[in-house]
Amino acid sequence: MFEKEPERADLVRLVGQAQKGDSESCHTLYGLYAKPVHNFIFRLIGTVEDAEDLTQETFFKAFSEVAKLREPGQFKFWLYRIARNEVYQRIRRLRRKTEVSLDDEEIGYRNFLPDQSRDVNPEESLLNRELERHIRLALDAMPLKLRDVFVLAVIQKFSYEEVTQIVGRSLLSVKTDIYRARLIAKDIIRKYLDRETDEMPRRRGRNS
Amino acid sequence: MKCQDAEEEILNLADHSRLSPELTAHLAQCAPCSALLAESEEVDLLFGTAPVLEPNPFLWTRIESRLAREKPPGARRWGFALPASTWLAAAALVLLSVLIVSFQSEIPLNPDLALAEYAGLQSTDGGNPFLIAQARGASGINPFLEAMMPRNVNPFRFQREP
Repeated sequence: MFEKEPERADLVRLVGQAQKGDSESCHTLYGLYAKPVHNFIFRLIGTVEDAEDLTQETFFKAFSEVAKLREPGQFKFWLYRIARNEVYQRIRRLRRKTEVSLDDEEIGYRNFLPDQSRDVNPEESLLNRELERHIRLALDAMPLKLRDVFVLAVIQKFSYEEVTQIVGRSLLSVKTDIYRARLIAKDIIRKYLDRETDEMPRRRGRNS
Repeated sequence: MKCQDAEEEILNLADHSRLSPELTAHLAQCAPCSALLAESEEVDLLFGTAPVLEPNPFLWTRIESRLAREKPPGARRWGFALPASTWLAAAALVLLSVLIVSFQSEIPLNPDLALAEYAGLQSTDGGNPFLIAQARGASGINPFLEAMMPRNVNPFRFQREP
């Protein structure tokens, strides 16, 4: 997911220059983290349009307030915290509009996203449709609190300790939520795997 | 190790290649837990290879433009710190404006009083500044060229001597 992650010394230097208002350094930092942050937001919010909007907000806020960052070496985790907060705020605003209970445990976020027919987007034509659909179903079935740690740990490959730095919860809380998210994901992906297994004899029959 | 503990450890694993000795021993004799581990590895593999989207290539342009345009509350304007010379020039302009206003304030604002003072005439109803000049005995005088004519006085507004 991360391309050419810089050495810590280089990152500190880049962030230091960005804090002084150097636009080239900001552009370099954007180039390093735009894709993973964009995908993180996309996996949480579910639509490309919202993901682009929130990615823009995230980087705008980050570069506007980078001077306040005391530890330049923590830029990546700080950036992800901003991204996560943007997603949470957007979802809260959507929920207020629909006037539905905020119980994360019972209601998946997809119910609050308007006009879901837009999700049949051109990007899906380039992807494995069935896999993407099941991944999305699995993430939709998770409450947001489980979804973000699951995406960070399983999709974005952060260590559990790094996840705690982003979400601001204890290691035990993070591990528990990832465990619960995995249970949900496993049930849904099992249907995909079973279907793939069932398809194989039929395909062999057609090809022979 | 019990299956319940094995399941918990399997689902808590961040790295499926790092199994505890107890779990390894349990898996050697428990087919369901071995299947669960395999399934968990496959789930993580599938999610780990989830399609990756490329951000819109124009996103940086939008961010950069917005940073140049807006200044969020409490934030320093990005890349637009004004040099000291600009601030000095602005201060000089303000000072000059103050001086001009104070200079203007020395000119009487009441046009009637100003003109009366200039022409030595009393205010009357109506009047033509050229006639007044003639009355003074000056011919061909253009009151607008008179050096003493205050700039803020409209000569057509002054009152004619009865």
